[in-house]
Amino acid sequence: MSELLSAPVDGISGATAAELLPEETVRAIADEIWASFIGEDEVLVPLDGELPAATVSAWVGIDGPWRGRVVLTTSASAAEELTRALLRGRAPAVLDAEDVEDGFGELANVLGGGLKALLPEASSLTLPMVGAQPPASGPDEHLVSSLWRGERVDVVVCSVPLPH
Amino acid sequence: MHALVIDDSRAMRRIVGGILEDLGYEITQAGDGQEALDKLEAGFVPDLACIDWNMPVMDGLSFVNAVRENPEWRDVTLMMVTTESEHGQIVRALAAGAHEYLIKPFTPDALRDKLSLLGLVPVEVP
Amino acid sequence: MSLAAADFSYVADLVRRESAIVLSPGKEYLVEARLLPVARRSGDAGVAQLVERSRRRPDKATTQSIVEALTTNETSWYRDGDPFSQLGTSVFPQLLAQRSPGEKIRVWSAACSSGQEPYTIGMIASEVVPAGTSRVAITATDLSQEMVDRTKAGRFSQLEVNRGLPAPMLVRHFTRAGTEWEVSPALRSMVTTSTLNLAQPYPRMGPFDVVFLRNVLIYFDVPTKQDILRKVRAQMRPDGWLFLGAAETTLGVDPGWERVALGRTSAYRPIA
Repeated sequence: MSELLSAPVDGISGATAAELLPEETVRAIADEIWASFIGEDEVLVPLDGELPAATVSAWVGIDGPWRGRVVLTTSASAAEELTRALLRGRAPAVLDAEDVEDGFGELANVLGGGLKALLPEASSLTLPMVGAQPPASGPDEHLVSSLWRGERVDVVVCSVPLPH
Repeated sequence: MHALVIDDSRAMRRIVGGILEDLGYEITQAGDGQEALDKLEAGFVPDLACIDWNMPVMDGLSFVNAVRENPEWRDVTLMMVTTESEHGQIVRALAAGAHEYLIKPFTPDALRDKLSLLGLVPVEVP
Repeated sequence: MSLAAADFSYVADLVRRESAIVLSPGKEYLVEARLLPVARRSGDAGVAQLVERSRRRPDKATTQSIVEALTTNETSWYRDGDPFSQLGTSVFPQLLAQRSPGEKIRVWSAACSSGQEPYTIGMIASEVVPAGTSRVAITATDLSQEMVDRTKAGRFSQLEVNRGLPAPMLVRHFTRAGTEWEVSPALRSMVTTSTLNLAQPYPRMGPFDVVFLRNVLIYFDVPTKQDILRKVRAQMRPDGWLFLGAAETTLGVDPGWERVALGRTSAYRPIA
């Protein structure tokens, strides 16, 4: 994959996250993920809601001519519900922290992969990370906020000036 | 029928494995390409391998390349199951020897459709 | 939000009766997910209420919307692959042997929906017919203007291309266009689209060598089925081939056809 880590190409490298991946694109990719992985009838409603004090985030980095990050953030309870929905009937009775970390991380991974494919130049994806706080974002942080089952779900796309 | 499900996400291994189990498959799991390759080298030859692309240790494309290098494993049907969805990535995986390619996210029906293309499930009678 | 067993079996019986399509146990999730929008549109509080209302006082519109929700939208590419593989391995080769080299081969996709069927036919033609993209002409019709427009556009979501389109075909015939995938200009040039109500008189089309009339007769009563089959036959060449859905047949409906076994599927040929 070393060819994907070559020197920045003019144009893309200077573009902001919102220019490369506008809100409607982020929503289109997220909607596909929700409809197929969370449930045929599950929708992300483009409305603002309250984000609780305690949240969980999952993120992946995009490495290529443009370096960026895609972060998925919601409440701990919504992350657990999402994992349960993702597993459909196959979730264990009690989901442990590792299950949620893994399931929620995979959602961020699929979201990041879907967005990465829309970039004008070939790029690669880093493995997903999960934590209470994502790394600090750059100045072009681009927030797409939705409600799922009444809980706020945020997607943040931003440029990352340094390697992950 | 025996399937090897290779993904670093255990949620994804459960989802893919569960759909296959419902179709009567026996499932073996691996968390990365090297773990999967070790199983093959130990003599376990599945009918089908479902392979994520981005994984630690050994990625899915390297696993496909390794499987294709050993003629003893030529009967293993290889299907990528990944979020990598650029046209060029699909071409790379097919050129390396993958038979099919399922893009994440997918529905259970989409996975079953791919299996029926591969002749790995009885064609559903509507 | 899982469906009660009695509700599921009511719906499964209804769908089997109306469409001959069997919903096997394990499809509760599908029934629930597909009927929820129907329930909402008709003002029912949920799927259970919709089913209860239909059970207590069955009416044609509700029955139809339930059956439609569970039998349509199953648009996929090579899925139900037998008619398509027979088209490539048996029908096109026979037609090539029978027709003179310059002669066009005409195929009609008579309920083309969002376009997966006509483009699948086009992909098969380009594989097995020399110069297939110019030799084979596909007419795609649908009742719905929206579906005709979608077919003409030839753009499909990621979820749509995931449904039974072989990966080698995807990379050969499609390119990415933003979040969607777009058919190649060569494939699109094979397909001519227009709206058509199968129950109304038809303009002169064809004559067709092959007609795909799949999963659409099930929506009509017997006299209309007979009328449609007669009109379709009039648009076909005498040695043409008709493919119906797996749950459909001309037998007992219209005597003007001979059923021919092709692999695990069947086709119908006009009787002179």
